[in-house]
Amino acid sequence: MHENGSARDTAISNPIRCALVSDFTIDGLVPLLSSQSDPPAFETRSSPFGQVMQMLVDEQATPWSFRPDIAVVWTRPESVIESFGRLKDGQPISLEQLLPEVDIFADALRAAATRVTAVLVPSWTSAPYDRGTGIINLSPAHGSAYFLLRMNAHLAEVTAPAGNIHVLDAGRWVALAGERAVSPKLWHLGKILFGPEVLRLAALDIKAAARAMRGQTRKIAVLDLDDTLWGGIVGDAGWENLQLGGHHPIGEAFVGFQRALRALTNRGVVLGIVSKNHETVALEAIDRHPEMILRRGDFAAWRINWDDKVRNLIDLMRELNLGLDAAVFIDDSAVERARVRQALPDVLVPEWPADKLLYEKALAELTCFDTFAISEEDRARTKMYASERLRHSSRTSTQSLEDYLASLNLRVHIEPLGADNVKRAAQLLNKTNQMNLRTRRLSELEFLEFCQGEAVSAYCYRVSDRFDDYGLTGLASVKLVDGSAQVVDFVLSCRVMGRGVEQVIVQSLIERARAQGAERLTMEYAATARNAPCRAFLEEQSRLTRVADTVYAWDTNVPYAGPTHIVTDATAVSKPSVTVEQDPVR
Amino acid sequence: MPLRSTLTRDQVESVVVQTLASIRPELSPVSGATPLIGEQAVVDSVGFITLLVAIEQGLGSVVDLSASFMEQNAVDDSQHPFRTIESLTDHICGMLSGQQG
Repeated sequence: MHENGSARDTAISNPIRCALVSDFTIDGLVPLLSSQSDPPAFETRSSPFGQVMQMLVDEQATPWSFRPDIAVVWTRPESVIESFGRLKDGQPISLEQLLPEVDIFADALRAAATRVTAVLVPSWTSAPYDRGTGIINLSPAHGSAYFLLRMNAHLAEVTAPAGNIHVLDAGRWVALAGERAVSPKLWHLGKILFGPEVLRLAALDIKAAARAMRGQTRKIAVLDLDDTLWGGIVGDAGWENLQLGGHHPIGEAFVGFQRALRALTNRGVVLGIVSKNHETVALEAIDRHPEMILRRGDFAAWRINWDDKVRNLIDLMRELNLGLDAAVFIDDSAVERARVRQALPDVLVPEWPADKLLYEKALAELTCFDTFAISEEDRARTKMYASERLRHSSRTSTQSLEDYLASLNLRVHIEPLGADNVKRAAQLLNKTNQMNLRTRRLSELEFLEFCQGEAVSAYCYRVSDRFDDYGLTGLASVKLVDGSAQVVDFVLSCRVMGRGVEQVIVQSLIERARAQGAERLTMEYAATARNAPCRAFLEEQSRLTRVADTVYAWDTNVPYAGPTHIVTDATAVSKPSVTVEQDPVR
Repeated sequence: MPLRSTLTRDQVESVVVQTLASIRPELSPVSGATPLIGEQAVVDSVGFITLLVAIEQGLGSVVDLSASFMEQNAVDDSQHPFRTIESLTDHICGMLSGQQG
């Protein structure tokens, strides 16, 4: 899969720094991670051979000196878990011996996790040819495969609370590589544990993790209809005659593909349609075909007409408040794929199989939707977009933007950052691109540590209206420095942008700064390829004064009027007033 | 060179080139003259070992390139049969022909 264009250029110019810590020769991974054809490119440093535990616990050790963003810790189970080595030698062991050793290894990983944004730990594997104890290999009493499963599960469980240690499924890489995964020849000739195919698959997952860490996860799959979501041309055949379901391999394959797409929506990925069709005909098929898995409510938006797909795609993404680099375009037509790929380089356009039976597999192989966590907000995202569609349709009947906003009955609840909301807050920090002042990417632990720092305050904002409850969709942190309240993070989900919530956040920060004795509030903008909307807000709508090229300020002695159409309430922070002066929201 | 193996020379070269690409994806274009050993080599020692073993696997393990390489230990780099893609391809074809003969 290749990405190109401006987002790609940014990713290449800002590589991920990665420490490789391993007890086997892992150098083969370096050129694969450095590859610029699948951004982001990595700068890597390998640790000295065979010193895993020392490297993990010693903060002065070589891998940490270049301040890596990510550490990949890839080990052989017998080298870090002594009991497992004895098991491989044929000696009896028990889980009571084994799992405490896994705990010790997990402690070392936690130590390393304080130095990086994420620690990636490929799970322990055995060679596909290794039958272990043969037909009793999964025996709880004797089976090395059984103990390996338990070790991996235990490692994943005990490291999960750290929030930034992620155990990757290396078993899948080995299974896919098959008999070429591991070669005794490679081991004996160079202490090379895995063949190139395993390393290629590992690099794909590690890069997916890096994109998730940077908030570069794709958020929407935009689909064609005819011969993509169903078999046949609905305009010619009619919805009754589409290949979908039934007792036919292709019909069943399309049902499987739709099920996989619906499963994606439960991970927070939204679906859209860009199709050359008559809208009424296509929507009738979606509404009425008895074997459709995806219905109208499963799609956040659609453009079904005879216009150019590039124009439609731009229009659809604008409606959803999403950047083009959030989109994946799936179309059976090579011509349409080439057109979108050429015209919109930020849109990811995966090659798509001609064989319809392979659509579900092609979707499953995409790494671009990977995230580190799935929240309730993610699961409800499609429903939220459906609410947005209702909201949009209600707007057409109102006379002005002010009237429309007033009709929404917007509410914002402000609460301090704490243990109960830090997980979602960190997720928002790392996923949000457009309304993000500085686009900092921090693990949950790093963010919590920052917020607990001296003179730092952090607040979360929950937004709702008469259509929906959007949950925690805003975040701000402020540091008091020499009588000035410096906004460090100012983050708002694209789902609630442009309705005055931005001004509510600014108002709350100014009032809080005043209460803390700060003379002024400053917001310093750090440009990225994708946060121009934040600059536009500061410049055109915030009413803050630009005091330097990228710095905006407000004298806290001057009241800041928030929008009158939003009702706010707060937990344990002073409630911002909402009716000081009317400020029309543009 | 006509091979009595079922593989043609072009097929052998294709395996060599594709295997190299899987190890060094940024390396393009490659040609028959692309050096595999010596100061100008496009792979380091780890990459070279991986390349040999992966080529063996790609050819169905019908040749033992790593053993052959160790046998060539005393040969000068400039004459080494593993020095370029082209010479390695020729060497593999020779091994296959020898087996078949």
